[in-house]
Amino acid sequence: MTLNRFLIVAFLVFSFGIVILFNGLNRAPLRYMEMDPNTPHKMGHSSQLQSDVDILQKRS
Amino acid sequence: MNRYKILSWAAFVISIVLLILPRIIPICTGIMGNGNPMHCHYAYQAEFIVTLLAVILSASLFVLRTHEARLLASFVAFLLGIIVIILPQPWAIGICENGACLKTTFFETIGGSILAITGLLIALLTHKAQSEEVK
Repeated sequence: MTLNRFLIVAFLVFSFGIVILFNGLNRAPLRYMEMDPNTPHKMGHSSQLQSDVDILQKRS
Repeated sequence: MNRYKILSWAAFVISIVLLILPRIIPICTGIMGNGNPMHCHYAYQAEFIVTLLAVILSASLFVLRTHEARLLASFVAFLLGIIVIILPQPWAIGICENGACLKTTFFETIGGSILAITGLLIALLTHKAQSEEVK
């Protein structure tokens, strides 16, 4: 394969990859989770963790 | 098959594995209380773009003929391997403390390390071949 032909194929692969990323096919789809502050499903950053806990406390 | 081709195939296969890793070992799918996706979502969107670039770059090692081009491509593959390791770190984008995300990041880090080492080995091999040709 020549370099010119490779560049065309590479661009097509890249475009296809971006389409996959845009459609969310590269990973499992997101879903809303009822977060319990006692579970280990917490953010690594304390500021955001605290804001999550505050929101959950307001809801309950 | 010479050493250059074996290492190029290794880099290509590792890049493909890194690209589809979040499909094989999924990260958590949760959304934060305020409705936004968590850091791990953004970290693995970025990982996808970086590994897509790594796939194209490692595939280019098969078509490049000059030592300079091979040296540059393998060096960039080495840098991309380091970026793959860095992205999930808390001081870069970060991931949540869920077990699924930690498991994916564990394998992503191993894959990124192998890609970086492979890229470095190809660069050293090409540099050696270039020096021998000059002599």
